[in-house]
Amino acid sequence: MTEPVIGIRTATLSLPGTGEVLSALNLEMRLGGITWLVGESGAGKSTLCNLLAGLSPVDAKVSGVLDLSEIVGARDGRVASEKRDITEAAAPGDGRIGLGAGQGRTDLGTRWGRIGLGTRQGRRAMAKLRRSGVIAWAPQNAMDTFPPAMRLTEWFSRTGLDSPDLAAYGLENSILRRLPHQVSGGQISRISLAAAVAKSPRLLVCDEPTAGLDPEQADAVVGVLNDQASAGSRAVLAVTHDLSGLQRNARPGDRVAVAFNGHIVEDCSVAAFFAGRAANAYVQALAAAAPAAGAHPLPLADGARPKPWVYRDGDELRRLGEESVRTAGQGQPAGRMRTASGSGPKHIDDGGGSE
Amino acid sequence: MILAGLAGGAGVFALSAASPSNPLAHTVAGWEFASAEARENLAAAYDTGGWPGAWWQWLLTSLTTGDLGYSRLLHTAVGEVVLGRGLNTVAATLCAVVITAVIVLIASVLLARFPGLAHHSAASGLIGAWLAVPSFLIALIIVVLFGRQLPNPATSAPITLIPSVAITIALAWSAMLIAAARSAAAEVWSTPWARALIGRGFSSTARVRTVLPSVLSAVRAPAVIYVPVVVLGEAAVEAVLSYPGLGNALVEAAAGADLPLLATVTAIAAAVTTGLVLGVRSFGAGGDDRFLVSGAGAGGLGKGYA
Amino acid sequence: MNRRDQSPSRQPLRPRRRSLRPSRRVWGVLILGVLLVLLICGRFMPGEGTDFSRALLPPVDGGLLGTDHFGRSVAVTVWDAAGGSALAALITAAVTTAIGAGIGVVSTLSNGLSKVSTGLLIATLVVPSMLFTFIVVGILGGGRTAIMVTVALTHWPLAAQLIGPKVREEWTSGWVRFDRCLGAGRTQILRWHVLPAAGGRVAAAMAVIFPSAVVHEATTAFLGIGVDPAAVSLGPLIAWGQSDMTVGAWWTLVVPTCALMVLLLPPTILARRLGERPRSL
Repeated sequence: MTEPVIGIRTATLSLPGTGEVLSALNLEMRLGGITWLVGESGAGKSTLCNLLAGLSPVDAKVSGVLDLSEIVGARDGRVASEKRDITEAAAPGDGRIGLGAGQGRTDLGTRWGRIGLGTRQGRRAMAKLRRSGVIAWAPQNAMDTFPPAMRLTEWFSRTGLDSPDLAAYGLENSILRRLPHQVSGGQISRISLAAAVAKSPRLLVCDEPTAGLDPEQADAVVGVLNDQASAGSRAVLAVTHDLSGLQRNARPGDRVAVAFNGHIVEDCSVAAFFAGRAANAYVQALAAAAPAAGAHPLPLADGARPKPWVYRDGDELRRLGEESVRTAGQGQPAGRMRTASGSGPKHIDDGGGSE
Repeated sequence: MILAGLAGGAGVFALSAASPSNPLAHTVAGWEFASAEARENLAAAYDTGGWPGAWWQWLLTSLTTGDLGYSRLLHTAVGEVVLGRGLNTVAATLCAVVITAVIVLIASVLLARFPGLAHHSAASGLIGAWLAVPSFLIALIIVVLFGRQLPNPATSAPITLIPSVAITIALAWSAMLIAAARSAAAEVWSTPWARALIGRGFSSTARVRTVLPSVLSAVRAPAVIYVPVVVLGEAAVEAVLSYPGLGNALVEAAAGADLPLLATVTAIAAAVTTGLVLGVRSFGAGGDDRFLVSGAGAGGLGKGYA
Repeated sequence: MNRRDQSPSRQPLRPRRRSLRPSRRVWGVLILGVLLVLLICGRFMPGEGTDFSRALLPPVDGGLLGTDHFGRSVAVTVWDAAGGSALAALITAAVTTAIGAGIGVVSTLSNGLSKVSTGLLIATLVVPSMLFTFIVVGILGGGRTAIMVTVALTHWPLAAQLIGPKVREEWTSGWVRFDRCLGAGRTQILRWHVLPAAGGRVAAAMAVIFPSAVVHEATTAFLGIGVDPAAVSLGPLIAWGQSDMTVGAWWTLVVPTCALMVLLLPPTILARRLGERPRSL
């Protein structure tokens, strides 16, 4: 694993009245591969995506760092000038981007390419990165995310793309002359993906790219994501609930990050995930819930099964999750072991092609 | 049904205030100044009781010719007052429209540019405070603070007084419209497509261009409907600043119970508003009543007394 | 249970609570209420007699806030006037809202009636309420009572539009039908669903009508339409203040103006806060 990674370090997001939605979350996204983010509803998956998209609620308290240091290069080995724009410094040739010095200042994270997610400067830097296309985001429910009364061509020209090529997505370019609601759900999610990919981002964040699609279309979308990841040497973060789709399409080398209650409790390869070789019980149970594995999340308990609507104390899956968060280090979530100080990520043994 | 309501609103007021069957109209004003011939004509039309339309028509012509419509206070025919002072009011209104348009456009662009602004509690409180200040108080503050610099209303031409009147009306008006724009912006920025503009890294000009039309469309209906409401509602402003406009005449007429003038101004206001409401209804966006009602509601919530 | 207690760093898995906004709103209403009661007390203070020998004394010399054109204490007079305005406006707001709510609820019963109600709302647009007040008060006189009657006449459709559809929406909602199927009675549905839902709208309507009534009264009286110039009311006090300002008696203008703003600001801001949610009226 020599591919550089983009890291999210100790991202914490808390809302007044709700508490921490993300708590010291650590996640590493490998360039050239997809990182699948799975987990139950309310685990903070979409919150994480929205955080990267700059859409956190106004009253949210955010801290943490987006670590781009492994893909950032300062030109000529010197510190780039303050005013330099990211796009200007971006050097597509070697696949490394340069960041203006403003994003690398001491209070943000002391080093190059480390962007404080909670600071004002960091937010500005993130906005700049999104504008220049270094970070791209494909939102959930693509249909709603296009202005209802605007033709898609016009929308694309507003983003700065005058003639996007949709051939790679199996679509005619003429489809863009329509209004959003005149396009089918599968088509619009592919168009949405095309818009996100068009500026060749280094980090592509997809919030449930396959939701609401039939299996064929979902496979096509995952195919596109795979191509994008490997061809463009991009890091792709994709949220999914569709474990069977994941099992069908994911390459065994891709990684699965399991979110629970605002933590990443496990980060392992797809193969290891589905083989049930994950380290903690929650992830094993989650993997066992995949339809191909028989859709039995847990072996039946000895006595009567817990009543399904008793959520807080009766949900076994949830209990396992809580336990795994706790046992991963007494209040230290599993992710925190991979500290930013450089000790290598604690990967679960991949075990290559276990099929 | 709306048409009936509108017609009713306009008709009832014009009729009740100005109809010959209103005993006040005979005794207090008009009658005593009418020519003998006019009195005979009216009495005949009234006694025969034939066509109500006949005497109504006669009344309108006599009002416009100034026969019956003689202002007791200003010692002129109502028609002349309306023509002369109406022009001043129109001029001040046009200036106010321009100023308001500029203020509201700037505010709308800011609301479209900064997504957090619409939800910001300080901005909301500021708009609330702005709305709370009654317009006659704004005019009073202008008079007290800049009284020496202002031209003397008794000696100078009305045109020199226009800026202060127009600014005051524009301030009262734009508060209401900015309140409407703010709630529209809050609504737009909570839609997925508008949020996606941020998440997808649209440049700020592209964001403004995409969001601004939605914000402005919410402002349009109250802006149009409330033209006469605001202008006549700001009669107090004209009175405080001693501007020789229709509003000032109206205040004098009300204070002096000058019925013909009151009736005429009311009828004009009703007619203009009816026309504008019908226009918005026929040609406005959507053209449905919900749009109108929300416009009325926005104004109601915004400026309580408008 | 104890598992959860061992790890304080983690968020307990309680259902997420709503933010603290509602309680802040309750505080605001409480403070407003106390303010109103204090103001209204002024209405029942013994009034000051006129004493021209003590006219226009500055603050400190002439008591707390000086004396006015008639030698009355500005503080007492303004308190009296503001209290009177507040009391009248409060009664007007309550009565208008009640009438409007009643008509609004009835008008939602059939499509035709609701169209009539909408038509009436738009018809009240046709003649501006301020103009209507000027005309009625100018011709018929009647002072504060007449002004408040005109305010009620011109403002009830607003309350009807705010409250009626909301009550109807609640009454026909899925959750109310669900509760009915479970055997809830009319009073229970009223208490559990309809009143809480309509409460916010009622407050919003009152918060709009109250300042509106105050402004109508102040403006009409300020312009001297149908009001005794020496009457204890904020409008004439401001008008006198404007003329006394020219001889340097700034307190006669500043104090009643501030009192007027104290009456207007809180309800207007409250109305904006309450009005933020019912955007589509």
